[in-house]
Amino acid sequence: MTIAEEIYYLSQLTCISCGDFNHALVGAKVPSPSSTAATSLLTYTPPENLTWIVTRLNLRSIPPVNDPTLTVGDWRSEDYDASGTAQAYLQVKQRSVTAENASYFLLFNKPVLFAFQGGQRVDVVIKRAVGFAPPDEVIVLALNSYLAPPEAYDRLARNLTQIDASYT
Amino acid sequence: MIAQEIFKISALSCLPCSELIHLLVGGKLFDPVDGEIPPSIAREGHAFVEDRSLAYQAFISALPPAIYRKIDCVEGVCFVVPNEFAPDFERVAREQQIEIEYGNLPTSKTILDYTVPVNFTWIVTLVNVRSIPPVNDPALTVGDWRSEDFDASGTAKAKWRVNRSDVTQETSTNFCLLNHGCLFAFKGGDRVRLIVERAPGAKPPTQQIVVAVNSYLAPPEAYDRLASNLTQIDSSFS
Repeated sequence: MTIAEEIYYLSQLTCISCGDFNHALVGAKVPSPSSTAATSLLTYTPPENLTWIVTRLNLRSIPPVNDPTLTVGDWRSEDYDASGTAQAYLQVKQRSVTAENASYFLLFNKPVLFAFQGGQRVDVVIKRAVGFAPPDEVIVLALNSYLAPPEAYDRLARNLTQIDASYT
Repeated sequence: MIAQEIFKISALSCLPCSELIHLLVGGKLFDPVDGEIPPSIAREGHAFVEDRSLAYQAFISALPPAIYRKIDCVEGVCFVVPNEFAPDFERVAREQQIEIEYGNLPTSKTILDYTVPVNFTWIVTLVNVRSIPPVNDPALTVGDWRSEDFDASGTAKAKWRVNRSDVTQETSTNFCLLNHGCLFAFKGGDRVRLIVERAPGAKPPTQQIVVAVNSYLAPPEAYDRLASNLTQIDSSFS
């Protein structure tokens, strides 16, 4: 879906003029955390008096070329640490707003609808599972998002993504 | 995109956009069971009782010998072959509050188990599933592409089950159901399970299965209004 189409549908959903939506790509590049403690991969504070609407969290984890531990069939770039075990969640002002035990697979690389009020710090947090420590990787993130008037936050409130996850 | 989907489902169901809540339902589980089917019970019409609780033990001990022909137990799953001439089998199970499932096989595994909140309709539009082997697993070879296929064999089947009944074709391949756009709706209070079944002989390495279901919670009237649009599966499996 093109940006123009996304803006159109967000405008329809919020009853706010298309002209009031600014597309924003928010990115980060970080070395992958080697520990299993919860780590913020991205911290962003939306501008005051705006609503920050996130429609996709794109993430890739990229190992070094020719890393000796890589073998044929290794496909890390599609999975956070190639194990399927990491957890991921969002925090606003350092308080979790999505389930802390949710698999990263729920949050990344698929359509979502999250909204955050301006001026409030947002963190994307990852937590590796104990026992899974792949080689050093670079994590790149690109959040597809929009900056909209402050009233968009309440108007989208009932549609926002909820996460219902079990984690074994 | 979510806003677009909400808009379109709203149009289809004649419900206001504000009544639709986007919901990601997911989980992670470790390596589905892929045991062998004991040849003595590998036939249609058997029932099995999957329960190690006291209720299960009471049930087995309460079964009058006349109403069943055989009990085989494999790794905690007992297969009770009822005597088709004795009508009391299900009554005894109900009294002991044991759930009986017919036709399930030990190669089947529930990869998602979700009970729809009461007074909502649960609308599913995409079931994302990945099966992830360990990095550097010695069984992996060049061209291995497990992340896109349930067990890299193309042979696994998948189906939806609501309460005790299968609602999609049992023979449909996992490729039909998983990682493609779809439109399924389930009523509030129903227990919905996504079941996969490996083909005999398909035994890849130990894997993590991650599941993320893209869905919406809508008012209960959405169920009937979407009924004529819902995904049907027409597949053959050979």
